[in-house]
Amino acid sequence: MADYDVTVIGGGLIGCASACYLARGGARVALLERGQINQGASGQNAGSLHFQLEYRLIRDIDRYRRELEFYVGMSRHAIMMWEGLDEDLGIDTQTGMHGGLMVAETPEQVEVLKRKLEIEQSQGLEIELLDGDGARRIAPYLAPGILAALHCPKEGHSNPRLLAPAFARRAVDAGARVETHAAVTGVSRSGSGWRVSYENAAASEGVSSITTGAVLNAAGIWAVRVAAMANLHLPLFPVALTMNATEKVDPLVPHLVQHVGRRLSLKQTDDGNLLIGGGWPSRMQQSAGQWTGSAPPELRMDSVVGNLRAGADVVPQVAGLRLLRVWTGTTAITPDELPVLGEVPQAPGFFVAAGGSGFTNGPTYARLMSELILNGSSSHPLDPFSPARFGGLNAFMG
Amino acid sequence: MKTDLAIIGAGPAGMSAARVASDHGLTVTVLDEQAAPGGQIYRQPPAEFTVGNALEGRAYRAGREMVRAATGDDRVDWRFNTSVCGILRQHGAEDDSRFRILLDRAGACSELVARQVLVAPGCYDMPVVFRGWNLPGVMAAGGIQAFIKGQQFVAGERIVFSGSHPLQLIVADQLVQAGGQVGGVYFAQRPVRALAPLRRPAATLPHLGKLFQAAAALGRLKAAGVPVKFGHTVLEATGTDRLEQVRIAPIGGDGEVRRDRTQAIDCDRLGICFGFLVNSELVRQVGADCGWSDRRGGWIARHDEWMQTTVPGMFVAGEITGMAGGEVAAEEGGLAALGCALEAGRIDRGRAAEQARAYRQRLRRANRFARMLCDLAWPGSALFEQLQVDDANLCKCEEVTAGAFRRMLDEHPHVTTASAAKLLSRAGMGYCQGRYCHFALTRTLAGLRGIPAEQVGRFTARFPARPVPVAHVVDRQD
Amino acid sequence: MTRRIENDDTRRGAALTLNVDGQAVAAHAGETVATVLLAQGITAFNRTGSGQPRGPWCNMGTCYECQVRVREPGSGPERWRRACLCRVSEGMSVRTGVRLQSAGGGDADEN
Repeated sequence: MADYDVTVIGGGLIGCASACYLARGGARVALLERGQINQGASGQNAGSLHFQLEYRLIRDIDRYRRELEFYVGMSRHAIMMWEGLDEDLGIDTQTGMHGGLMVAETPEQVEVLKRKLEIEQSQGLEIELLDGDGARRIAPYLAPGILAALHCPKEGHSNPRLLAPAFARRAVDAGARVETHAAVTGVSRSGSGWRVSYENAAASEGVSSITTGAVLNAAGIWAVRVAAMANLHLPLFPVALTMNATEKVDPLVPHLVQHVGRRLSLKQTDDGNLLIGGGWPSRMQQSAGQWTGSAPPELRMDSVVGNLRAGADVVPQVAGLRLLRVWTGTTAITPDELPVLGEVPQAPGFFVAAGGSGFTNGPTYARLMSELILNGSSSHPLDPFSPARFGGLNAFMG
Repeated sequence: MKTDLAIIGAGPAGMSAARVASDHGLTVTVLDEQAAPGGQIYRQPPAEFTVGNALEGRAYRAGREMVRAATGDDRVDWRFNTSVCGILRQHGAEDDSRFRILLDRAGACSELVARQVLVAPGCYDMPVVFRGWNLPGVMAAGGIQAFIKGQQFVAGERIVFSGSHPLQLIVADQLVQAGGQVGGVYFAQRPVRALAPLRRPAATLPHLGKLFQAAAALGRLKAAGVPVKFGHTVLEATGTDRLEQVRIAPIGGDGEVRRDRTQAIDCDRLGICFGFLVNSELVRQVGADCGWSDRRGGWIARHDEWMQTTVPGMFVAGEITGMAGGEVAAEEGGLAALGCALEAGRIDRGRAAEQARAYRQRLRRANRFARMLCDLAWPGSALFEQLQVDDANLCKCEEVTAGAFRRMLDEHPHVTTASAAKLLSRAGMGYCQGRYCHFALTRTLAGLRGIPAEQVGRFTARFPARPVPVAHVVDRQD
Repeated sequence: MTRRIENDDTRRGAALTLNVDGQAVAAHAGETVATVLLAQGITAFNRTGSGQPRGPWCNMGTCYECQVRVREPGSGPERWRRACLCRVSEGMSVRTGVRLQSAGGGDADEN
């Protein structure tokens, strides 16, 4: 018998939550993390709970219509999960679902809001279109130039600092083994399952290895390398982003504010800081001609200026606050910017969960993946996001 | 704005580097947050004051000359009242400029482009966590001294000092000479340790002047009836909304702070003087390598024989290379400027080596003494552990108590790095950008996990190094 | 009480007046806001999120404990400034004891 039923690789939100749900489902689970829990994108994103289709997804609104419909369906599942998460984890996750507004500043942007609304309503997402004054009635902090906003009452934010560590604790409570400073160095077939080798970076204990029935690759930007160890391609690309935090102020913005035509997400944490992001790039560092995820990406000043301008244009009071911290982080996206979730057809027992809205949907991905691994099927269809859609890539691999 | 060499900090290292670099034909811009050159050690009164005895005394003679020379050196573009918020690498520049330095000055952000940058930002008084350390009235001894030197101002009715660094003798003496009342100076060390320098005459002799200065201060304080005691430490500071009293406790021979034998001293100002931490955030922003030294200032920048960091074109001088005082800083500044001239091709290697020889000789001697002083002034981390009670703020900005921090570590046994601890606890996320908690946080984490500080690692140094109004960023003037 | 040093050797800058918490306060050119406030007996420069009073610690611009609300003479906005780095000027107005979170930054208060 293998040492473990499932080995989860990656101690981010998806990895920790999957380990928790798998262990609660009765599986013998090991989680291996090369550094510390929650140090990648899971801890570095700004904690938006966005259930509307984002700026980046609606650029190709016609091409990916079917996938986007499934995606909206997934959002409904995510809303349900977030509503029960405090109870599930037994902590205050600082989740606030006080509504989200996606604003438009031009007539063209208002038209995009309307097309988006149609897809979202057809999938049963609770959402309404407000004109500028209507938006300012519920969000008086918005600038006079806002012409319209889509209001999704369940949107909001949670605290990325707390979530993955809480799942890791619950995973341990449910019997999972969680190992940090365990850098996976090899993934190979072993009988009907897999063998995973890893090095303990801190204790220099040399290489250890475990056998496992299934592998869940939830390694974020490192997922490509983990897949390569199993002789698999994974079309996942690191992108470096920028986030800004202002000093704390008394409650000002209860909502998640996004923009339909500019890169902007803005919210206020429970602690009082305004977090301003929205997909502005930073610059990945290189080492020996390769991207490296080990050093924080370099700041791009044009991103900071552009992002803060967008923030101050939409919420004028932002201009009067001090910028306290800008941080950069790396996440991974697929060519179609949708997540990749499921078993790799050429490698039975090798599962992937990565790419795309991994915070908002992270607990949902984890829940559905744990169902898929434990039962062979999931309560919400994952097919549109299966690695099989990049099937040709692995035709000669595995 | 463009310059060959940007120097950050107009203290002894920056002043001396500016002169030498200008001598070698580099165009130099010096940036400093204060209103005049001198740094903390040679801080001057404002131009509006007339002070006959400013920077008086042997110890300040060299500094006085340096400040005078710097003030008259119009080859250098001096920019005061300027906060440096960040340093970025320049990518894809048409010329060979490598750095973009982001400034906050006179109500707007701007950028200075430089081929080379020399980071000499000095140090700040080490914060020590004890009950009441954030009460108004508790201050850094260096801050009290800055009021005297820079403002001709005695910042209290009755002032008490607690620490382990001899600076507190100098400050207490300056206060008494200025007519202030000093209620006591308490050293954590046992008297026998305080005499240690005399046992290493080779390192000590060339610097007898400094020791003499401290000894003379001690003598004058005693003559003025100021109690100077060894083997004692502040335990807590108390008062309603402001400091009214400090509790001083003796330290037993085993290093144990005797909480049962405290004495209360009324005062409205307490000066804390346990040493200094260096400002290495700016070089860390660019990825320069640093190493840990608890007694030499925390994360100190690594450099080569020309004071160049692991980032090509970025040089360091002064306290950022490890606490060593103004003399060493000035020598390192000169050496670093030679290094800049060499890297920029303004001087050939042979001549540079020849000119560097004298700097290096003086540095070897001065550094020996500096290291000895750091060892002498280090009270040992066991003392800090005992002072750091559960209800004292570990992170004063985010008001994260030492108890809350330790609880977090209990709940999350996997956390072993400073970054992970910051993310979970919020310690280090406030206005001071982690400068006032990282030392205690690192020590606490390393201690509880039984790992070295190097393994705990450092906070990632983020932009901006100083909080900056969003309006200044949005309305940039370039 | 604190004490301004003034003697044969030491002359302070020209006299000027600023406004501190609604009161006219005499000061000298070249003094920092921190000096003037301490000389006035003010110790709580601001209050933290939890309401704790804070005053100067490092006196060199690093610790951010001495922040106060300052409006420069003229029409500028009120802003948080580090009292230790901020030189006084005729007609300046200063507010102390303000909760850091409540006033936020500068311009926002103008609205």
